[in-house]
Amino acid sequence: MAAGSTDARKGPGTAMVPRATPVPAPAPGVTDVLRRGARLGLGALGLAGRAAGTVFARVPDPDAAPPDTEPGIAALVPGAVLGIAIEAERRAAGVVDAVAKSSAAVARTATQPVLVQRALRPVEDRLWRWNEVARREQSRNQAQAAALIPVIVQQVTENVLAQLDFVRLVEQIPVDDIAAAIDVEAIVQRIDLGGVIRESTASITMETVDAVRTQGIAVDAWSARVVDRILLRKKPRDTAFGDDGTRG
Amino acid sequence: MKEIRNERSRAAQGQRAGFVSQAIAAALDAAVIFVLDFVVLAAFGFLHFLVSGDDYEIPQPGPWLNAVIVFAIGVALLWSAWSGSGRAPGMAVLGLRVVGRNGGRLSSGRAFWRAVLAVPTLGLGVLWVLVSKKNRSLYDVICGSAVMYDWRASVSTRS
Repeated sequence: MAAGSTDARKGPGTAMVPRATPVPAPAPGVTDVLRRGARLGLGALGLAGRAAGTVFARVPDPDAAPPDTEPGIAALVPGAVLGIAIEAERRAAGVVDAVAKSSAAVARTATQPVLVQRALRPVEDRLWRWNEVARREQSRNQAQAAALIPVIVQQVTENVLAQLDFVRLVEQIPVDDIAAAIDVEAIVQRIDLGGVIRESTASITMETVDAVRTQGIAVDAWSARVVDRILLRKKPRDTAFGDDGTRG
Repeated sequence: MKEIRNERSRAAQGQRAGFVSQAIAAALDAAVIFVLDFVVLAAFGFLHFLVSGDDYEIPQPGPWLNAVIVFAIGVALLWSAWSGSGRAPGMAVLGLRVVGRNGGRLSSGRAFWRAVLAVPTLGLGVLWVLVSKKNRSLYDVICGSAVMYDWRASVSTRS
């Protein structure tokens, strides 16, 4: 791979035909992916090791030798290995970053002339088509993955629940102690049960009576309208109880 | 006191009651009067059983005597109710109240004569409400009273 020149970096892609951005969100660079992936992998490895250590500590091994009071050199080996891996990851990331920058510069320099651009046009078109295919396929893949995640979570949850002994768990709940801690008499004393019953009963009775009375008022008005129509009265009845007393 | 939810019913409060409500109230009052008549006769029979030592039986007076008893019970009940709270038992159920000329409590005299008129006519004077332009019964016309919707309010002190 040849080294790139500084002139080629001034106007990258200026002679290219402008097109719409094929992918909305810019993808992370190769170096970034490698660096993050390596760190995440190492982190996950460390967490797994710690979790395994916790689990093994809970399960005593009868054949295991009694622990030493002071850790020896052998105890430093896992940490040292991890440190070597981290250092290696950093150096590898640096190398990959340099290679990626160089290759980009070379590509920009090589594609600058018009003749080269014309020659590369078919290749570029093909690359665009593939990119479009990848974009479509990727959205479908992402949709499938999104649909798969709930299924996986459901399956994992069911498997975990199947391993639990709920009867044993419930038996371990100190129901008697909890019940003994509740002062039922104090609670009952706070609640005016008689008052609640009285109010609810009175409310129900009153609503029923009101419903009957409402129907009575409606039938009163209806019967008055019928009779007034028969008597050919045009004015509605004066049922208002004014200061003129009951006369009139 | 609980608020009246129905808007139409709320608006009707203080208005003169119509025929159906007054008729149902009168029928309920008549039923109460006949029940009281039976209770009075049963109590009289029990008293006779205690005094005479004969077997217990409910007295069965003749029609005229029974009519007098019913009249007396009815007048006593309605007179006391209308001159007091303004509500006889049937009116209390229907949410009605008998009031005087200016909407206040009906005077004792008017309440007495209203009761004297209402009992022997079996409350049929309520039929006049059907044709009255102001929902007045015959008893209201004669005694200067009125029956109005009054579901919640306490006894008016106006007289």
